[in-house]
Amino acid sequence: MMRRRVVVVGGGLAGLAATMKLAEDDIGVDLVSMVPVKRSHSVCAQGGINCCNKFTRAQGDSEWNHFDDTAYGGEFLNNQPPIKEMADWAPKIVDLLDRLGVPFNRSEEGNLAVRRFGGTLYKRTVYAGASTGQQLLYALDEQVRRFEVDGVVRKFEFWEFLGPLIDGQGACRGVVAQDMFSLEIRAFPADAVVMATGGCGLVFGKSTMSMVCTGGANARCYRAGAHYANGEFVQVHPTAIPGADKLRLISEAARGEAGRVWVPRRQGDARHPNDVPEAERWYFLEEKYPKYGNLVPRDIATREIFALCKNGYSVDPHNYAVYLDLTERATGIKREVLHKKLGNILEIYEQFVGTDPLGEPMKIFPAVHYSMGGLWVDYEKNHHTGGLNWDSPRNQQTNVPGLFAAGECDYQYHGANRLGANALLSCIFSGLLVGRALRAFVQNPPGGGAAALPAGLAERETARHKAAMDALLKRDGTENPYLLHRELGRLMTANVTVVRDNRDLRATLERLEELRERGQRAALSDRGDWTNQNLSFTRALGDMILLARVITEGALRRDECRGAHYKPEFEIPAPTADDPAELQRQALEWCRRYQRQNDEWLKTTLARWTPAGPEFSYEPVECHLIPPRPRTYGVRGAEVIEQVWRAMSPARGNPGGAAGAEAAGAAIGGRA
Amino acid sequence: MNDQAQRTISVRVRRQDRRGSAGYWQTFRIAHQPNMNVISLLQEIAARPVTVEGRHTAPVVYDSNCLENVCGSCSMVINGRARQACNTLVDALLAERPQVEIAPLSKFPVVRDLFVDRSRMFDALKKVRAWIPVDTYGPIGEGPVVAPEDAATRYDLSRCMTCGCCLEVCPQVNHRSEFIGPQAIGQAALFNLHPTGAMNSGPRLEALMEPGGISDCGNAQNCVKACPKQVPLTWAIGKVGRDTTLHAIRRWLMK
Amino acid sequence: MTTAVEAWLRRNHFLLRRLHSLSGMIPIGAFLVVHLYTNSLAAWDAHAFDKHVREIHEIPYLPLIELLLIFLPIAFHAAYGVAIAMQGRSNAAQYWWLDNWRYTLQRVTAWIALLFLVLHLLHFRFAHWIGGPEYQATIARGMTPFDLTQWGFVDGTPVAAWLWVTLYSVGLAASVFHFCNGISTFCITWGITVGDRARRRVFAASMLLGAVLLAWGFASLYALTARPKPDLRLPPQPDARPVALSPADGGAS
Repeated sequence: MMRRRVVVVGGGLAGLAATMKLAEDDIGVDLVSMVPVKRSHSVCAQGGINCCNKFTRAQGDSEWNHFDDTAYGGEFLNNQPPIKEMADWAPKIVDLLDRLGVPFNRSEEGNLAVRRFGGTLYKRTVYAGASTGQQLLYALDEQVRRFEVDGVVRKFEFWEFLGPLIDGQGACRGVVAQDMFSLEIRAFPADAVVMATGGCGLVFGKSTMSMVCTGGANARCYRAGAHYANGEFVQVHPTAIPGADKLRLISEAARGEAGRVWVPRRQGDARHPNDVPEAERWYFLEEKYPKYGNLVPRDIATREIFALCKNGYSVDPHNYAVYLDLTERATGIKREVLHKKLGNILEIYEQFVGTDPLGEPMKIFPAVHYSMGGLWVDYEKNHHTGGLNWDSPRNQQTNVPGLFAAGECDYQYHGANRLGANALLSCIFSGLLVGRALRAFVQNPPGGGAAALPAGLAERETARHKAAMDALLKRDGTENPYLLHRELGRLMTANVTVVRDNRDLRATLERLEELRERGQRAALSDRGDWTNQNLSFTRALGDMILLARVITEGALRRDECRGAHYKPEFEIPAPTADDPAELQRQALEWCRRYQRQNDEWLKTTLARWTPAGPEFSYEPVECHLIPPRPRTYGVRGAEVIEQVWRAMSPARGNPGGAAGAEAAGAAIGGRA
Repeated sequence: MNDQAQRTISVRVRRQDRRGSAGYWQTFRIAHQPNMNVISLLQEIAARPVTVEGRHTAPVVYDSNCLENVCGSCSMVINGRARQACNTLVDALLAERPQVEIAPLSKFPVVRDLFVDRSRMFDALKKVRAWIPVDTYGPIGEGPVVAPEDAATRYDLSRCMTCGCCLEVCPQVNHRSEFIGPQAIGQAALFNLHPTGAMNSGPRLEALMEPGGISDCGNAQNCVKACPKQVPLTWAIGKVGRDTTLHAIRRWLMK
Repeated sequence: MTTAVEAWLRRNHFLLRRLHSLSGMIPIGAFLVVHLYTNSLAAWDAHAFDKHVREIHEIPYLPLIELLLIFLPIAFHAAYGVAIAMQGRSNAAQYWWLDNWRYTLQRVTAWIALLFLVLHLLHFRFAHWIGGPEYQATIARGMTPFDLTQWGFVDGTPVAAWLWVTLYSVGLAASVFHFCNGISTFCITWGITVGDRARRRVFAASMLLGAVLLAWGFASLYALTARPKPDLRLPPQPDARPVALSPADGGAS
């Protein structure tokens, strides 16, 4: 029998994990990627990958705690069966990566070394120097190369995905892609298609993302009928270095290894940071969040830094910036030790800024970093474990039959905010999961699969894309796609990132419509038929504007504060009273409002493409194991809120499955 | 307006329209901004592709992705030296000479302009079997214990991003020679150092004992100096040199 | 036919490359050291030089030994070396690094050393092929090795002594550099030095050896060309006509 064949689009961690899993089961894979897969954006991940491990277990940690941190960190917007399954698999995934030869840092005894990341109290993150993403990507790339040599995997690198092949029944039967050199357009029939095409940081102009992260492929699936979920949730990383061409990340590992964030207590203090005495330094995160300190989740750290700079505390007269301090004076840790653990990110700072980050504090500012939202994907809950049915073909499948998604381009694992070091985990986990789901799926693909493609489908779709390309190549107009992209980036960064306001969002939607129209008048400066990057970029610009609309309108509709989505207008004011009775009353009021907010907004945003613009609907979030609770991260004054909340909800934490209930009870009890 | 705002940079770019067609130079003037890197020069050219003569041209085609010196895409010959365009800062270049000159890597076929075809490096990884052949991706337990020093050495080797700078500067890599280049030797060393990988080091060493393998290294030691990731390539070459010596002797005596 | 040879060369690529590397050390390099040591004696004590040279010439099976341990290895090293050198393309002018210059110099000196070797062999060892004196016959006629050598540089040649000194200085320096630099590359090739520090140490040591060899070489060159004849020769034997080489004896003018 002919080998079953799946097209995987994108060769980052998720795409490669899916590919190797499929290949292991002898399912053929056509791996389509705009860049050699070894250069995918996953290389940029620095800090590490989370898993409950030997060391944290000894301190009372468990997979359940990891699951809980992920749900709490994502402000309960992530469906719990997939994230429970992910947390359960985390240690096994790290074991697998270890077996694949990833050069993780080691303890003296030769075990995997661990560090602490944001949003948890445990040292749950294993890492390979400060380029864990690069190391993990290479490990998977190597495995895929092994199958490439065996002929199970065929790579199509420098091929750009143009759209899914959708048959008359609405099922996905393959993809249409274009050779980025010869501009040849051809169809790749398949029994199923996996999108593993990452995030859409370029919608915001400059971000920490790579140049391919336009979200173009995701937008093309959305345009073809796939639902786009939670687009408004965009993580802004608190610590990046501003640059002319992009914003470069300084990993959370810098804070995990004791880096401290501060500003001088006096606004506009022009002294060199090393000359500011200890007493005049304001370690504002440590002060405000004594429990988590510098390792509060990213959305909180970002907002705090942003607000401080807005209030005149920026340490740079021209830009917004605060200090991230890794000097021995601030951390008490010797230079050599930090250099060994953080070499790579220190290198980045040195290369691009030119000062020694161990000699003086780094100047950093938040930057768009990760798309929590993405293509909507399904899952099948296992009623016994509360996790997933690992073999179900529903897992990671979009609403378009046969079209799957995994990694950053799906919306599934991070809710309203992603925890540091959960991205690498979710990418590999969802990649392996989709591989497993497809094993069942390709046995009986819709319409008979690749071998029984409806006559004329491939030809029709190829011709349609070819015609669109020809039109674009010939188009005359006055607009410049690169300058339009800069405008789009400035617009989105100003209005749809850290702080959102409905009036601004409405104005942004109008501007986006204007940009869309102008985008249709963008003419190419290269009309050639060989390696035309201008063509590819201009095409992606249209996709970025399309996604910008989904993101902005989703944000406009969501009238609440949740994770990365912050609208001051709808913030529930924290209790401030000194009088205990009044404080109690305020806390009760706070909790009631929070409850109402959850009743109204604890749901997934779904956008569906229509010619008139996105059509929005909402879907409940499955919180069957851990009931939502106020996400306070031990902010001062939070104790009373937590007390009141617990008192308000005595019957909570009784979800499906005896084991789950017991565990839930234990975990919640353990935290009390 | 101050001087800073008016300052422009002259950028000379080597261009080539197609595979195998003749190359030519074009010069552009770009407004100087603080903190520019070579990528931002190319971005500026893309936004306004007009030469100093005022001729409208196609944007310069180049390979890039992460822009933080970790993906290996944007290797170019900048002011005569192979390096990454992303972490080459324009002010530092201008301190060397008044014009910035950008050319494609010379050891690889040009696809267009600055974009070269580096597939030979990926083929080399196949040749040296640069992977750990595990039995299954299923959960069968932990990996082998590794000493921290060995892990550190492997990490250093594993940072290789297949950028091609080591091949570009190697006098032994050229159209007359089959030399596989330092990168693949470094990767063979990486996998031979892993406890599981060591069990199948034989085929990797034998691949490097063929024509074009380790013995075609000319010991110029440029690779390690040009490597943007400080991969200990000469260490790897020495190590693989030793391992192939022992492997050859062992094979000769044991068979 | 050529394809069969090519196939054989490719099949034995690793072995041949290693043999090429090895032959540069043993026997060629070792021979160079011994040869320069012998010559250096001329600078201090012509008797010792003469004695040593005579001893060498008394080694049994000398022609066979010369053939197997000197001429064949050199021929192999040179021929295979040419093939290797043809594959390199120096870029030392572009990448101005010491090791890169060493790479280039190793190849430049190889060419010089090869030409010098041919010259040197025709100058002395195989002078009779081009009409010069034959060593054994001349010695048998009572001339000392020292005198014969000096004659070869000064009187018995149409080439000016200063030119010989120049040619020999260049040839000597090239050969010594090629050998000593070769020690450090040999150590890399065989995996004896792996780390950078080890490599730097071996390089320093090999350059030190090079200095000694150069000193020996220049001292002997000086003694055999510029220095007045030491008056330490054996008294001429009755029938030994002093240095009466002429075309009639098979010598060249």
